[in-house]
Amino acid sequence: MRPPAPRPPAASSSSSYSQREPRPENPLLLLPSCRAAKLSLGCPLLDRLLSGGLPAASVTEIAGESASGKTQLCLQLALLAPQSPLSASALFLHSDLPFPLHRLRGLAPKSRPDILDHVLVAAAHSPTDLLSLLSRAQRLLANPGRSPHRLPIRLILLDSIATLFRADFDASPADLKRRSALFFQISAKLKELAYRHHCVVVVTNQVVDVVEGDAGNTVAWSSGRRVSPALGIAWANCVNTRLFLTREVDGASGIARRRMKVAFAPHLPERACEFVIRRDGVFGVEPAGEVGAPVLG
Amino acid sequence: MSYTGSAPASSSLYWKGMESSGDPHPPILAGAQNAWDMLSDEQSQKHITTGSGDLNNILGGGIHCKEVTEIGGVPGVGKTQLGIQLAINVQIPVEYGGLGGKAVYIDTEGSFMVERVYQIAEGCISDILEHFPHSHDVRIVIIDSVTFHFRQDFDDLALRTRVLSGLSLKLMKIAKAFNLAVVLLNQVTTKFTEGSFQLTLALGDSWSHSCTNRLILYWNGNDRYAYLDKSPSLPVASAPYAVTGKGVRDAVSSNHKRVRVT
Repeated sequence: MRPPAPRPPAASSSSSYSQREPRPENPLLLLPSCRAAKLSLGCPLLDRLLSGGLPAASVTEIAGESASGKTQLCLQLALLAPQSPLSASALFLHSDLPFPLHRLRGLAPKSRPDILDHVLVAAAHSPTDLLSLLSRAQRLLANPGRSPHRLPIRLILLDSIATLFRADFDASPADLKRRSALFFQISAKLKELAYRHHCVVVVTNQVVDVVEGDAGNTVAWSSGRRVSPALGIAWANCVNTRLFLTREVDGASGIARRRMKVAFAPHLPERACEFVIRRDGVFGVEPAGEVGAPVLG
Repeated sequence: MSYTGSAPASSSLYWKGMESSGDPHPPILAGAQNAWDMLSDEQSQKHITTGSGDLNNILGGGIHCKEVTEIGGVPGVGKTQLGIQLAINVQIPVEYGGLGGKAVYIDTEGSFMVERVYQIAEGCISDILEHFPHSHDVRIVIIDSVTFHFRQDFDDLALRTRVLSGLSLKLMKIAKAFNLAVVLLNQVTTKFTEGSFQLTLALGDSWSHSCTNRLILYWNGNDRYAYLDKSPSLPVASAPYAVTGKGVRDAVSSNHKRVRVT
């Protein structure tokens, strides 16, 4: 006798939503709204690199070594969200302490003193912390009526995922497996929030040194080191788009050039854009006038 | 090889004398088909082109209908791009050598970007076609990825294996019953075996038996390659491919040399 067909596990463990039947959709009908649903970075060059900005309903990772501009970009995005067509509040989850409040204040436009009302900040101290924060966020987004003065949250920033996994895990196979399972749980919650509430989700990540053997689009040179985003292939499987921030010192002139590179994205070609970090934010620049410099397309 | 396709009487499964209501030649086994008919079906089957001639070659013409093909690879190597390309290419009209069918794309990861689908569709049209006729049936189902949901909630690995094998049986049944291609995109993971970490496709050993065909996408330096790892009828082989603005195409340096995977 064949055993009865197995029932899928109860959905409650990973989501506080009731399971709804997925509806098939005709992509042609989705086309106009998807073009509109991008969060601009506040700079036309960076927006051009990303074909309009960061997409909603998708998880974008920004990886780079320390002081490469990741947190600055996140702060910038948190302040742009209320002013953009998204007209949204930002939920800023940070694992690096303390939260850079003075930098956020410094970036805020003087003309909008109320803008900090639309940035929600919460600290996550561990992966389990983060999971419970995300569950609370699911409930918050599902019941928006409670705070009518604040714009709906449609931008979620996590800075950074790497810090959460540094302490409790060593490199044993059992720990790596446990870590991977947490990646997928976190990613599933982020993607669910992204999809159901049409949010832009940004996660920052650190880099690790790599030895020869690794190839492809996840390795880059930065500050003279060959690096790759941390947390391995398992975490790489959890993000939709990966942006790499690198820093190269130009041998001849001694000037440090920063580049934002599209490592992989389902909708973007692999290309890069030079940028600078100024006091008022992160902005793209045209490459210096070298002969044969690539034209950004 | 061509032949007329009519079955010689000696190869039929019909049993003289076993006649029941209405059916003059009832088969011994309900639902069975004799091998001759199967061969003629297979010969007349079309394949779904991948967009890359080299890739089509190692696949014996393209992705096969009535079969389940697994495509695995590291993030960013082109699995979703290939999935979308197939969803577009299945629609190539019959007059242009295609199947003129529809596609079902099941996205579990959130990687289905409509603007990219639009680009690939335009790329296909500008390369081959002038217009689309109407009235099709579904000829391909793509699941991108089959892995994502299975890597979260299953503490009971035995249960996961049972659910996965139930899923793969269902998909194979659908593929055969409706004569459509099923393409499952899978992720790559590191497995700790024999004292070292190795790259392998996710979902475990028992899953690796579930699909009819397996294609592994990998990087060789800065070039993308596809390796036919499992097939009932074709030899293992590698082919380079490229992901362009218009979609999946032959690699720029396509030189038809077979590269062995170390």
